Amino acid sequence: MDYIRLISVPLVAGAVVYVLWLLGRSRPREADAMPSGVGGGRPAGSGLTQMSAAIAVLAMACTLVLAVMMFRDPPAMVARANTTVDLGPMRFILAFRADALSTLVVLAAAGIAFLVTLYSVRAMAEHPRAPVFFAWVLWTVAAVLTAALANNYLLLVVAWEVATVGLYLLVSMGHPRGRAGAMKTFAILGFADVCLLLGVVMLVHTQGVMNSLSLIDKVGGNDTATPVLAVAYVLMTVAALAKAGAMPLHTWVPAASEHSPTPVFALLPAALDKLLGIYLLARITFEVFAVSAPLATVLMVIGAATILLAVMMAMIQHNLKRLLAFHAVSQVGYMVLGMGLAAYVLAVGRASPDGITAAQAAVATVAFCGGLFHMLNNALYKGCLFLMAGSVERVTGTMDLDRLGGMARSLPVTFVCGVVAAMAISGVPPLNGFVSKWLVYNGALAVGSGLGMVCLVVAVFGSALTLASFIKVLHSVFLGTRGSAVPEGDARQESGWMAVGMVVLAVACVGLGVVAGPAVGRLILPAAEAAGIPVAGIEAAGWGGLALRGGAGLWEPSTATVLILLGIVVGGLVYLYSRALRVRVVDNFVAGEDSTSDELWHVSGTHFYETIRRLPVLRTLFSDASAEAFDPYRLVGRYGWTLVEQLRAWHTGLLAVYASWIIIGLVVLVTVLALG
Amino acid sequence: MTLQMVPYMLTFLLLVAGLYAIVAKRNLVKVIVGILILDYAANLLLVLTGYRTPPAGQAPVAPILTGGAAQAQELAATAVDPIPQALVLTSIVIGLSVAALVVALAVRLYEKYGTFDTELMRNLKG
Repeated sequence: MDYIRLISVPLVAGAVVYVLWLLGRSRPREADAMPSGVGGGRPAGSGLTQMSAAIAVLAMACTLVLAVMMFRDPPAMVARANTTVDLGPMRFILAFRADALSTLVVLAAAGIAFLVTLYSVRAMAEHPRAPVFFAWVLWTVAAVLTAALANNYLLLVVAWEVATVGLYLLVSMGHPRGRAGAMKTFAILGFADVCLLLGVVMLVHTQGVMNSLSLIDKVGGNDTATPVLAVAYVLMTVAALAKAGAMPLHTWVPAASEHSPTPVFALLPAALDKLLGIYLLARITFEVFAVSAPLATVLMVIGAATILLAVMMAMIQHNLKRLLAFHAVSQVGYMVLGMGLAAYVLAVGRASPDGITAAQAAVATVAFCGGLFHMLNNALYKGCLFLMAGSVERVTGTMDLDRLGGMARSLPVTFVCGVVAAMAISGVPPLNGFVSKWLVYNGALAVGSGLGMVCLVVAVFGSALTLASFIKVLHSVFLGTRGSAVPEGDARQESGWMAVGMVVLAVACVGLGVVAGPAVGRLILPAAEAAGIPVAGIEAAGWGGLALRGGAGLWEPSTATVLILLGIVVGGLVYLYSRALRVRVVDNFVAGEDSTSDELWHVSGTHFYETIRRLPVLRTLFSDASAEAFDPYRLVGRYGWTLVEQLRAWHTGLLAVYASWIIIGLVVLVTVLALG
Repeated sequence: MTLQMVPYMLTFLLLVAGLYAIVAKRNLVKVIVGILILDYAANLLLVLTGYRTPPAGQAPVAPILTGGAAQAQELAATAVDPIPQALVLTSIVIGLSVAALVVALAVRLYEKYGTFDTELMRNLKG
């Protein structure tokens, strides 16, 4: 019953909100005569909007409480007789299961959803269809919770699909120009859903007719050395990676980001979709299948490539949301890399005659925990960053970095939260992003292959580039002189509702980093065990998160941390010293021109990395032509169009031609039947 | 080829003639005539399959039982197969209704396009 209660809370609340909106809309109102959005006043349905927002926040709070209860005390698996569906040759049970991995995802999803809903109370207040937004958010959250708790492929696929539809509907609620992006999102994720369905069908088919469709039937028994199972695994992985936004199916993330409402993006592509995708990847890679070493290597390469290429795209963006979207893609790389490393080590261990050794199990655990912890951390800091962007957008009305600047005074809370989240995503100790990346690095170091070292270098380099691009963001948005889109004056422009979400997320970033050891021990290690990782011999200890029982193994991050902190202190000293120097301050003199305006002296950060863009090799990579070559959606569009043109040429519209085709087909059919 | 095959060959020729008219003729009326010829060829073929060539010098036996149940075995051994004939009767009626429908469509097409030339009716062009 616990499962049904948890899922039905957002489901029912969403239905209530939607019905309220339908009833409220049908009533004629005088204010409707005025086009909404004119004059900046609140739109006509503001009472309705407030009511639906209140319902949504309450429902999310209830969901969060239930999720916490479920996490603390996971209920038993439901498999009652009346949930059995009998379809003659196939019988299956609509069962739920709450192990440590599922409940971790549920907890994170409910927490983020609650904060984003709080934030949306203010952010969506002026949207003409705000109640619909809340209804769809509630339903999507219900679908995500169902997918995370399902112990049945049918439930999983259906919930997965509902989440896709919810994302599409929510993205298309933004600017009308965002329709193309929404369509792209729907097309790519729809393709991913088909892949998932095909993979499930192939897997179930190989398992026999009387299968219960249970997610976990024989643990790790599906060796991907069998070609059919390998194809099934690849198909399901494609679905997981597309949902999480890893390359090469990542292109929907930036396309959807630009015109969708900011809370939508903070909620779904940045947080919940990542949770779902990585959850499925962890489930199938370690529990359902026994992945072979070549496939695991492919996962590692995908992870490393995603980290590097996406972050390089992020560096050169001029639109804040698009930049953050590329970072959302880039961060998936660390999770996929962690999972791939763990799968590779386990595959090597299984292939060797004496099985998985303790050292290999330890490396796999470290890498997997890194990936999984990064999933959790990413949801926190990426959510915080998108809320920061939304807060900026509310004040200025634009996301163009060239027109922003000097907003630290008017948005101090946003600024501080943005700095914390930016440092967390860049992996600066002692924040949470550092700990999870550290674990992934350790896994890559210990995996003991050349490719592991390459992945390590790429991951570290990607992390450095992340920091570089966030320096650009922080400078262009918050520092420097006032941008052209920023309103005059230093008055505080924070909104309380929006600040709460950001502050909580930023505090969580700091908290999970500072108490990383207990956090990993309580949250991540049980989840790793539930996913089928041999965690024996590993315990959460010290600040670094994990330690091998019995000493040797992990590098302690303390030295690196001390060095970094030392660097920061030295930097501060240099800064203080330069402040102490006497500097002659004079007015600018530009040949008698008026030089007092901020606009004249506005230096945006967007050109920090123009040099990189113009480097010989990278120039071709960054060009539009190569962007198209990297985008499967556009490739399919172009070659699909060629196919359509060919088919059009065949359609002459002549009766005689169609009749000839029919007769030829008939002749072929008769010949085949006669000869066969 | 034996002499018995000749009717089959002629039927086949009729069928090909119908197909030729459907595929090669631009005039809708000729196409309809082709459809009807095809229909008749099919009917003829069906009847032919049920035909039993009598021994030389004798007439074929009609499948009519006149001498009571005692002659049933003998009749079954010598008479022409009645089932294709009965079915072809039905098929002829169906062919008639098909012809009526096709002609009605052709009349509507003529009203719409003002011509029977199928090359000028190209709304299906992609």
